[in-house]
Amino acid sequence: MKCFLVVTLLLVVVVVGCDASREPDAVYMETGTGPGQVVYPRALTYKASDGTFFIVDRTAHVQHLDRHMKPLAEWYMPQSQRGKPVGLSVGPDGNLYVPDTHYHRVIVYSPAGGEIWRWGSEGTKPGQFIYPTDIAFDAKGRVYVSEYGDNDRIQVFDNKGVFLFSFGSFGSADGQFSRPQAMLIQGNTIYITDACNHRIVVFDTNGKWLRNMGGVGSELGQFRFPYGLDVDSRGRLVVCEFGNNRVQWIDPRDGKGLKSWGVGGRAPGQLAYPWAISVDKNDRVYVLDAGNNRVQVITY
Amino acid sequence: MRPTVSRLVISLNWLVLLLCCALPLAWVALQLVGNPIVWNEAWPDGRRLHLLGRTFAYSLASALVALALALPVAVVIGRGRGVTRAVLTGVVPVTLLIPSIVYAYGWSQCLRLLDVRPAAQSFGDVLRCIGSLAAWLWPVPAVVLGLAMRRLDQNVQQHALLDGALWRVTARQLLAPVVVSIALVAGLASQEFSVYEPTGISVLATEIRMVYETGAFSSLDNPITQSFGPGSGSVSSAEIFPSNSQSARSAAAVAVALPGIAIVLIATICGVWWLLRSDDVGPVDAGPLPSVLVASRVWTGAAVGVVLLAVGVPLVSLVLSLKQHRPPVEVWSEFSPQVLGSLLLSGGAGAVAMLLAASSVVQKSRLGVTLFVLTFLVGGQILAIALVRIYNQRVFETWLYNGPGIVIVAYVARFGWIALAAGLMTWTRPWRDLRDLASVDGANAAQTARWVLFPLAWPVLLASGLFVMVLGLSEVPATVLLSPQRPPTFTPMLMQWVHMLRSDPMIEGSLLIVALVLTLGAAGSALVWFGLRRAALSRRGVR
Repeated sequence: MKCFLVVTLLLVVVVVGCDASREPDAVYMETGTGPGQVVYPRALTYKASDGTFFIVDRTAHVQHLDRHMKPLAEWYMPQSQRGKPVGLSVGPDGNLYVPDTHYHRVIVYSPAGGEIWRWGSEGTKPGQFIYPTDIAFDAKGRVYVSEYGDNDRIQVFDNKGVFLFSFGSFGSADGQFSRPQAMLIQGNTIYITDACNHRIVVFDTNGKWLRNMGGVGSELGQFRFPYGLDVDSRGRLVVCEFGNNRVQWIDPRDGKGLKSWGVGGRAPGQLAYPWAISVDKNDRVYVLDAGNNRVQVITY
Repeated sequence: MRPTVSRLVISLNWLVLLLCCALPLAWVALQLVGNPIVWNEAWPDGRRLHLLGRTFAYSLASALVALALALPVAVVIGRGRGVTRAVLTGVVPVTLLIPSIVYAYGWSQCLRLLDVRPAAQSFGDVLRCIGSLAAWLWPVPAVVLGLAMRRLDQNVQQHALLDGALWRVTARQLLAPVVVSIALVAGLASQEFSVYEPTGISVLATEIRMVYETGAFSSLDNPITQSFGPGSGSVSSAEIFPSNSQSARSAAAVAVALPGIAIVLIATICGVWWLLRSDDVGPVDAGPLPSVLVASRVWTGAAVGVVLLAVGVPLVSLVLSLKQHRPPVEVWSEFSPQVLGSLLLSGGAGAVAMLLAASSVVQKSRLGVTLFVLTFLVGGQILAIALVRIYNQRVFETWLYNGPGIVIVAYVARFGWIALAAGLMTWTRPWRDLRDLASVDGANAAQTARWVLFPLAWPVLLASGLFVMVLGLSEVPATVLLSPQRPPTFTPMLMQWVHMLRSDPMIEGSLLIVALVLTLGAAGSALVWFGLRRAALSRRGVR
């Protein structure tokens, strides 16, 4: 009996005791459906031209926010009962591109929330989508859309939504994906969080596979369901991991883990299912702490 | 057992009762007494009646399908002989331990493989939910009816057989257990949301979660719930309650849940009363089953077919839906933090449950059982909301609210009645001889427990802790609402993927949890069998 109690106590101490994490610089937003409030937010993106953010949550509530997360505009997705978007991106035209994940389409909104256009339908043919997750843009104005479900691939369109080509397929071999969740284009290189393979996959913008980085685990340089991806001013990749409840800084050349921040929990500095991440021009990292209905801001 | 140890165990028992049951129930009561708006809002208007009616119509349909599935198995458990009966009696309750979320996903994969894709929230989609719930809950009527059939008076049965009225007489004799098992299944089904939520079907359980998380009913564009949508009348709790704070949202969730809880409570009270009334002749010594009453091979075949259909089909569908087959070691390395977290928390709950079981061998507590059953009946979601409201305080933050404590409390509150029931078994008639003998020898209650009852009952007490652990491992409503991170747990992660048409992580995670649950459940069943056999042999010795 004594032995049992001691072992239980030790386990609890080990679990509860590992909470060393630096306090965030700021914690924004609260639970709710009103302006400046969120319910399980799942996507966040930064609009560098005016330093504002967009966020979408589990009630399909899209908000345009200033850098202190004060609402500038808000609206709802046209349909949401099947599911809500898991990605947001600001295009070169300054508009918000929403992969409307569970409706298998892309909808483009003005920053004030007016719908500009939409494209895509459910299916596996070129130009069709199954669960689009994220959108990225290269310097040539091409639009990259990632998908998962039955279609783990990246499709590339011109800026009018005309299909150009696609790359990748489902699997764990080189050049394959299992839930490509977020994309980041830097010059001619595209970094993709291959969430269910627990790695970051690197391609060139023509769809040629270059390398994989990481693998499953909790050490630096390893990942567990990497969901969010961005880059800081020093060129380091910043990744948030849904399964490890942390943010990790990665050397993009070799995938070496440089440092991490965050542990699981409810207190400031702790995370619950971080879904997305954005780095502003001052290298402040905005972490979408989905399970705690808030955004935490850190500077490293 | 020394008196001080005995007192310590009993004191801990009362502390557990206070933390897990009394405080959450008091919180719910306080919402009613201290917040008249909750009472007003809980009174069902046309829209709420619609929601309530829909929920219980679906739940009742699930219960009837479950009853139909359960009948052949009940006949074999009640009237079978030999290995098949023994195996079914052991296996059937264990299948209930597999989480509802796994059954729901397994059946949706089965439909996908058959290329049957009902539109979200369509009639076909509702049928899918009803079928999934029935295929999960059918062991309840199977066991209840099977055990009731074993207790039927064989003489009456044989006379009825000679008169050609066997099934009519049996049906009349089993009416009370049938009604009780339908009520049980309907009550359990009405608390379930993971089956309905992926396609947005609105029932009480999904709305409780929605109201708690958002302060409003589900979306305007949901055709089923359109009348609850924003801008269409009495919808948002923000309109009802002055603020959108956690306190207001929690009160609103209680208001939504209250009519359902009232129905489940009334049904439970009526069911228990009816069962006791129909059982007032005392236990029947049924004796050996006459061969004319033994279940035929057709029934045995049908029973095996039901098990294969209800358990085998969803699990095989999951395996067939995997896009890539990976070694179990890889799957384990992917999910190990969450699975270990779940095991730790449910193991903690199991340990507390064993303590409860031990204490109820020492001291019989009807109040404890009543409180635990009430806590179970309010449902996992309302329990989780109550615990959040009680323990989301700075003083409790590290160890309870932001640690393993709150989840352990939730699991014990949900399933502690199993442990108490295991302990109470030692106060029933067959064990009373042992207690009386010990008493004649001058032993007090603690000494009787230590030297006479524990050596015989330990396998059953241990099994009750194991079952609480397994049920904690597969518990969905409270775990999803609490979403613990310290340590992280597995079920909320599965809930993220259950919406997907086809997801390897969801399938791998489901199969992993099935393997764990079946292993632990089988161990629990073996312990129960061993314990009951051991106790029976000892009692025979006493006689």
